[in-house]
Amino acid sequence: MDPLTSFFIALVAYVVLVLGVGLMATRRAGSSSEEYFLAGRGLGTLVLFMALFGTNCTAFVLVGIPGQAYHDGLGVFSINAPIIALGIPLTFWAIGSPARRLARELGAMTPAELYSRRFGSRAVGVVMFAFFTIYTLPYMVTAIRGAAVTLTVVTEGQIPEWIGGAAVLVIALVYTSLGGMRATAWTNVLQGAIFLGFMVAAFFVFANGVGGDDGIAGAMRAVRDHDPELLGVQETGLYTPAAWTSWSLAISLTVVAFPHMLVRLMAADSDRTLKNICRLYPVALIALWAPAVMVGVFGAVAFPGLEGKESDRIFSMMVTEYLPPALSALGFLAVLAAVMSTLDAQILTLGSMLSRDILRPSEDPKGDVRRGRAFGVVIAVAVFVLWRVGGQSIFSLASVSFSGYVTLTPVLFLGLRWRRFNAAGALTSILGANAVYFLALESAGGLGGAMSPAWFGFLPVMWGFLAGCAGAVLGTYLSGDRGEAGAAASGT
Amino acid sequence: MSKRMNNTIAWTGAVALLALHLDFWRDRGTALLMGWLPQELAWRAGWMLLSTLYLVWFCRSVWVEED
Repeated sequence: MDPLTSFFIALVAYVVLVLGVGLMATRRAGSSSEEYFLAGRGLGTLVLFMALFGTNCTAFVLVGIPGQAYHDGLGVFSINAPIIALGIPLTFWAIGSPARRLARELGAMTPAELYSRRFGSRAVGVVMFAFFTIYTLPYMVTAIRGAAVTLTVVTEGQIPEWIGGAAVLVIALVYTSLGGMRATAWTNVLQGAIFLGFMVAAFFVFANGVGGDDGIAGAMRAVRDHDPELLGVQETGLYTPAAWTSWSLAISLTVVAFPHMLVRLMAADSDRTLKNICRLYPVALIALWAPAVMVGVFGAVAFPGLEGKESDRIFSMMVTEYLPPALSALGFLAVLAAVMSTLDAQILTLGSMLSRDILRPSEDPKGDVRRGRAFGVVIAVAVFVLWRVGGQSIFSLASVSFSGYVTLTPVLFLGLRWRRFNAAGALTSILGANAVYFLALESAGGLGGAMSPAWFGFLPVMWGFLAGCAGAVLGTYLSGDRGEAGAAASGT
Repeated sequence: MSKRMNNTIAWTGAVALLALHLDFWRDRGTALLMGWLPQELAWRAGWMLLSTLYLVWFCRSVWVEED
């Protein structure tokens, strides 16, 4: 069977499966807004773990990380994987666990709604919604472009980019609208299994391809003979002490501030479930990140000479070179699965925030669900339009977004852990943090400078975070308000 | 162990792990241990094992379930 036929068969089977899962979740989703937006706050360990992991891991890990490792070597693993394996679970404890409890007590169904009720301030909810949306839309546009390009390349142009992107959006929208949070969580189990399983299997196949009969040992020696620097950590750019420190802060804190991640933590059935997830997370991260980095490192041996962004093609080059047609079809499907496992959560979360934070929650529980579905369509159309008319600037915003979420973390944490923290402090923190973040970005080279050093060698995200902490404390004490509207319920 | 003691251990452990992650004091070599395992990968894998053990302990001793 030729590779193209293999891919189409795998693609059709995958689409039928995810739509089938969406249909299975439909019956319960329409019964109430809590069922639709939060799966009845009843997600258990396995489903929630895969939902969080699938949402957390985008196609960037499968395609962008190998491209970066092609040039930078194992340093890409060193600077990212270890600190998130510790940092992300700790944020699930610090923010996720109290957010889940308080959301249940206050009847909140979105992150912005939770903090709006906690502070007794609609303004806080609207401002949080605005920043969540500003930082999430560029992400979604970038993901759609990645999926569309993948489909076009794999089908040798038979699926034009705009049709591929629209199809991915429509499929994600259909099963998300059908089954709400439960459908996205169930499909994430399938999607996460596809891309995690593929990466682990591909690592061994690629090692044998590069290392010959000696397998992994041969591949590592081939890397050493080709360029020993790939086996170490560079000493420039992101790998200098100040940049490394600020990147460690950013990548640890940003994930819990994704609204589509935080809302899933709010859907956990218990603290015990969140604890179980914290124990599983490091293992899954190693299983995904180590192969992703090694694809790039082995790729540097197999396909030397790629320059700059050309190395983003190394994943598809390795897949095409070393895998039989059926497995290579699975590889490209893994990229689509990674895109959709994040996209569905983003559509659902932004739609629910529009429905409950900008409009007020409906008296009719089913009315909320209808509005959530309608706003899901609005979000999907907005993403498609931004992709087609947004130009290059929208893509440079994606790296700004990744660090930008960190500017919200002082409020996310202190709102749940500091009783006196009030609405004035929250607004001062968010607006001050973002003002300083964008000033630091400007000094680091504009919108493309999110990963470049700003003042004293630290990345812009570090300055935004520090400003957010200072703004929270100053705003709270200078306003004089005791700020306990919803704090009693949070046990702070 | 008392809550205060657990909190002290938790903070000390977190700071120690962070210091080991920000390992600019270390010679980050490019050698292959046993002829196949990159020294850098071995160091990070060891760190991740330590941090996983820390998380398991943290979930058991510090994280109080409040359902």
